[in-house]
Amino acid sequence: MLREVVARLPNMSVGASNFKQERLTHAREARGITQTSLADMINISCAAISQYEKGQRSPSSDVLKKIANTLNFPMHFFLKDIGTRACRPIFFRSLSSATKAARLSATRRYGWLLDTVGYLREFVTLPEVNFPRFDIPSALTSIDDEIIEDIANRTRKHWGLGFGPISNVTWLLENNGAIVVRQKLEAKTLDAFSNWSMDDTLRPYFILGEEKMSAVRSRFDAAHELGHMILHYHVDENVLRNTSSFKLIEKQAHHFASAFLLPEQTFSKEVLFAPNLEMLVPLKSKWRVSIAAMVKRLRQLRLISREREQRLFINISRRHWRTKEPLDDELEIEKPRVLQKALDVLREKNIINQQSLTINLALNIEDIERTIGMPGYFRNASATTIKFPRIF
Amino acid sequence: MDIKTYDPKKPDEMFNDLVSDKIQREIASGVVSQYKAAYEYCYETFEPPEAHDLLPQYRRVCIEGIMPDIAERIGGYTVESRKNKAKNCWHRSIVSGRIRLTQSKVDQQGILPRDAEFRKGYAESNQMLLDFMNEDKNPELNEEAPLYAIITHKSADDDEILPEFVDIVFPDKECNVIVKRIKLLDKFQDIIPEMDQEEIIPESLEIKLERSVKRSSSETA
Repeated sequence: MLREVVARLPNMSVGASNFKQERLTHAREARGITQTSLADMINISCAAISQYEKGQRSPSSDVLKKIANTLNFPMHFFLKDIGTRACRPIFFRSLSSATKAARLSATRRYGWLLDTVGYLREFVTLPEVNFPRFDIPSALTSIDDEIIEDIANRTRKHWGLGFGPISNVTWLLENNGAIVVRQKLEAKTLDAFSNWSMDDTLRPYFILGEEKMSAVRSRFDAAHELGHMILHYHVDENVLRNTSSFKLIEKQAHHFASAFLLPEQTFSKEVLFAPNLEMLVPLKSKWRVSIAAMVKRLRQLRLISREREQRLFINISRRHWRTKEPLDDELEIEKPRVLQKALDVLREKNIINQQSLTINLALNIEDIERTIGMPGYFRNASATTIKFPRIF
Repeated sequence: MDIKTYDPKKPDEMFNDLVSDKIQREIASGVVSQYKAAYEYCYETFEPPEAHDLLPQYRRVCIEGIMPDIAERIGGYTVESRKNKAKNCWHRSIVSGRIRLTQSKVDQQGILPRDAEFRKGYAESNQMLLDFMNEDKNPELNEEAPLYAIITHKSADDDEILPEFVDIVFPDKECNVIVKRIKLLDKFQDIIPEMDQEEIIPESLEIKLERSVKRSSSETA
C-alpha cells in the first residue's frame, strides 16, 4: 500500500498533472487563509488561485511546491483523490459570520479525522455503535420539554444507567461506539460539534473544543452534542440554516444535556430549598456540572423562582464565576481514549508508524496529531525512543 | 352534584381521594430530600457538635421552606404561613382544598407531636366530623368537610441523613389520638433513591485487531 502511494507522488518534470483542485480549497480553508492572502504569500495573482480551485488551470510544479510549503502540506496531499462522502449535517454551536472561517477549518479537519479513522478501521475493530433511536416528532416545535426529559431518561436507561452522577461522559460515549476527539477549534464560540458519519456503519463523532479548559463545561458540551445526535437525528442541513430553527435545536440540546446530567428524580432531591451558591459547590464536585448550569436546571425544574435564579446569577457575576468557578482547577478534564488505544495497539504490533500514516493520509504528522486530538503522540514517542550508540 | 361520603373512621380514604398521589409523593419526596440536603449542609459547614445541634432546627426550616416551591412546581395546593398564639413562632401549613396539613418531627412512629396550640386549634376546627366516638351524633364525613392531617417524620437512629418514616396522620378532634395513618414511604417505596450511587463508566475498553490483520501479523511472526 505504501509503495502504491509513493508511486503516485508527483513527477516534477512533467508538472502537477494530477492536481486535485478541491484539495487546494480544503487546504486553504483548513488553515483559515483567503485566496487573496495565499496569492500574496506565494507572490502570484489571486485570479490564478481562483482558477486553480475552479479547475480551470493546474499550478506548475514550482507553484504547487510553493503552495504546499506555504500551507504546510505534503505535496501529495494535492494529488490525492477526494472521495465522495455521505454525511449527515454537522451540528455547530454558532452560525455567526465571525465563526465562519473557524467552522470551515473545523470541517476540513473533521474530514481528515474521518480519513484517519477510516484508515485505522482497516486494522482494528472499533466499539460497536449502540446509540438509542427513539421516535422523535419530526416537527422541531413538537419536541417539547416533557419529551426531552423523557428522552434523556430513556437514553440513560438504554445504556443501563441509573439516575446518579455519570463518572465519565466521554468514556460513556466511546464505550457506545462514538469517536470523541478533543482538539483546538480556533474560535471560542464554536465550543464543540457533532456529526453522524456514514463512512462505515453510521457512527457518531463528537469534537470537543480544547479551548474550554473546564472539566464540567466540557462534559456539558459532550452531553449537549449527545442531545443533537439523539434528538435531531432527522434534521437536515436546510433546517440548520434557518436562524430560528437553529436557535430552537440549540435550546433543545441544552435542555437535553441538563436533563441527562442532572436527572430530576435524583438531582431535585439533592437541593435545599432556597439554595445559595455555597450550597451548590459540593454538588458541583459530585455531579460535575457547573454551578451556572445547576442554577438553570433548578429553575427548569421549578425548584427555584425566577427571582431567585436572577439573584443567583447576579451573585455568580459578582464573584467572577462566569469565567472561572470554584473547583474548575481541581476537576480533571475527561480524556478520550479509543483512538489512542487503537494507535497504541497498531504501533506496538508494528502495523503502522508515523511514516505510513503521513503517506496514507497525505498529511504532515502535526496535522494528524492535532486532528485526532493527541498533540505530540508520534513526535514525542519517537523522541523518547531514540537509541544512542554505546560508547563503551 | 353528588357529594361523596366517607366512613369517618377512615379519613385516609377521603384524603387519598382529594389529595392526588402526585402531591403526596412530592411531599414525601420533599421531606426526604430536605433531610439529606440539610444534613449535608450542616455537617459540611460546621463542626460535628454544632452541626448536630443545628440540624433539627435547620431541617424544619428546610422542610417547611421547600413546600411553596413544590406547590409552585406542581400546583394543586397552597401554602400558608401563620404565627402561633404567642406570636413568637411561625408555622406553615399546606392547604389542598378542604385539607390542611402541617409537619412535625416526632419521637417515634405512630405518635402525635407534642401539644401545640395551633395543632389543637386546627384539629378542633377541622375534625368536627371526625368525632365518631360519640355514636349519638351519627357523623358522616363527606368531601366538603374540612380535614386536618399532620406530616410526621423522624430521622433514623443511626443515620440522620434520611428519615426513618414519613407519615400522614389524622388526629382526632382533641388532637389526642391518631385516628388513621398513611405511611408515605411504604406507599412510594422508590422515594428513598440510590442517590449516592455514581454511574461508573468502565475505563477498560479493548481494541481488537481485525481478523485479517491478526492473521497476517501472526504469519509474519
